[in-house]
Amino acid sequence: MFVIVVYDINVDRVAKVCAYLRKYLYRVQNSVFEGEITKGQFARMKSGLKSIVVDDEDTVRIYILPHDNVVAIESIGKDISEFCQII
Amino acid sequence: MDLVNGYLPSGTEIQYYAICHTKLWLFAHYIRMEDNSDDVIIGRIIHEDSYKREQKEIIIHDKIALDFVKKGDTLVIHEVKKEYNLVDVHRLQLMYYLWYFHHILEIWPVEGIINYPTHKTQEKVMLNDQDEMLIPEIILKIEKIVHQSSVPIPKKIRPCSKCAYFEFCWV
Amino acid sequence: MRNFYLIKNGELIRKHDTLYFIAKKEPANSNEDFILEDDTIESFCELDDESTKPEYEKKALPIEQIDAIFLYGRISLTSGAIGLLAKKQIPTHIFSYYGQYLSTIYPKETLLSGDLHVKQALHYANSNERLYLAKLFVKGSAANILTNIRYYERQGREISPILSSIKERIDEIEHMSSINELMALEGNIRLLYYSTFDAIMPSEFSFKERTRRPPQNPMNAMISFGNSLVYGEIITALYHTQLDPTISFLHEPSERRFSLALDIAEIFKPLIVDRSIFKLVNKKMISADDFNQNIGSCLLNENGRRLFLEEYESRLQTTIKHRSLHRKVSYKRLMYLECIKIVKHLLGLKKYEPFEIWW
Repeated sequence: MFVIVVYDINVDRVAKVCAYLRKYLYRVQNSVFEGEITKGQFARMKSGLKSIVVDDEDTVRIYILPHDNVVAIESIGKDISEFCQII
Repeated sequence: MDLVNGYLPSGTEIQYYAICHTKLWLFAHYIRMEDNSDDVIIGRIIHEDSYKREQKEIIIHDKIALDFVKKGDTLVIHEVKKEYNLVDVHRLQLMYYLWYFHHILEIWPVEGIINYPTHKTQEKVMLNDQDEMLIPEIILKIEKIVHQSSVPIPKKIRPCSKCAYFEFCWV
Repeated sequence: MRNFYLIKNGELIRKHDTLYFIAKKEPANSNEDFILEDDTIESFCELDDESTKPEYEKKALPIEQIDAIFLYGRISLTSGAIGLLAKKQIPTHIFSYYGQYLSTIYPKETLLSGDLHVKQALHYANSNERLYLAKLFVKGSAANILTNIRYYERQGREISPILSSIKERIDEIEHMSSINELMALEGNIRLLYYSTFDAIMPSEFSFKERTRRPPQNPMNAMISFGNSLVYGEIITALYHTQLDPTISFLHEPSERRFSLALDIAEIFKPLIVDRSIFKLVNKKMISADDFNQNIGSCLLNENGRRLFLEEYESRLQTTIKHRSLHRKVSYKRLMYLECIKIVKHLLGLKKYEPFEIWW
């Protein structure tokens, strides 16, 4: 499956959430991550996020798509997408 | 227990016995696939997330992994499961645990509860006299399967499609 | 789960429980890669996320998504990075300046089955059982070779006589009575196969003959580069099984550390490496500019490596509908499944049949 994760996190924890998401996905905007992920990894990632976020201060929103080829992505301006398997 | 000459299966083996003998044999011979199964990983996470406050994972004799226990007038052992449709399998596993407490650890009385956090429901498990007799028979059957030299030929059954061994069996 | 290929020079570090690769940005038209002794790499660990040093780029590698890492550049690994790779059970394959496989940082084995181990060793020790499996590796490889050149025969290339010679050799596989004979026959099939390359490829990619260590021309450079990738890929696949990668059947266990990977790689080289090369060359995706030609050696340069890896990786991700699983399976997964089929053979559950491509 392909997921897009967007978040608004209290400044005290935002770096932590960002670093955590880097273990699973690619950062494409300041508070947006995306990437292909398995169901098992996704469950683990959600569980980890739940232990970081504080319910009444932070929001994480996740868009779930069955596969990356059902979504067309365009970007305008500077592309800061980090996805890269060959570096 | 003189009925079983020392051989005691693990809780997982009891479950696999109730689902599929191929899987039971492979697991017992350390041909394990569980780590690359999404369903197994999700099951593990449900378990970790659902009962954070309770005391966790008590492992007895390397055979039995109790998800958590509660001590009151009677000892209550808890299992956490994902799929409600395998309730008979889970019931057998817990019956084995109860039997194990009675006959191996010699602890009475013990009650069992299966928790399905995703379905927000519970299932109580007791051990009647008939069950007390049934468990040693099952232990013998498991021992026989595990100790046979060849793998039981896989049979296509309903749980196959979600099983961690799916590719192994059908490739 | 996917592979990461690091072709730049740099440093692999651990930070916030994931990996970061820090590489020096090369000037756009630099052809001076492969600096053998590059002492200009400073310690990058101090760079923060929004790198303040513009001459460096820092990329996060999502640790939970990594199946294996292939190192081609001059890369130093911190002990933190090595520890994390070990913990997450990620094999790291290291290649030389020439693109040759050097070594693998192989994480601790967690999948061990004494029973299977004994059976694998017994299959090796019993000359009939060993020969039985060895023949199948040669058969699978030859069948996939044949499918490759049949395609070009249908396109009207003058290779029919060679094609029938290969068919005759394939029929002989069954009659081989020793590993040595079988190896000689396998070499023979491969020679015949390579002799079609000059009829299949345009003249600027003339192949002439197989040369290694170092390769002499672009075709040989690509074959060497690709074959070592497949070797690494199968080592990764074997790591995820209970098979012992050092006990092989066609190759001698002493030939390489992971000789079973050599056996299985034979089946996939024509499918993955050769087909990638045919596509890159025939579609003019790669040109002479993507190689560093010297007297006595020819190697893919950084751009060439990138082109090759992109094509190779997209092939690994390509899925086919598996005939018995009735599920979509990638070529990458197919290599793992090949290992599983060997496990089943050793356990006596199902006779091994090598993967033969049907188109």
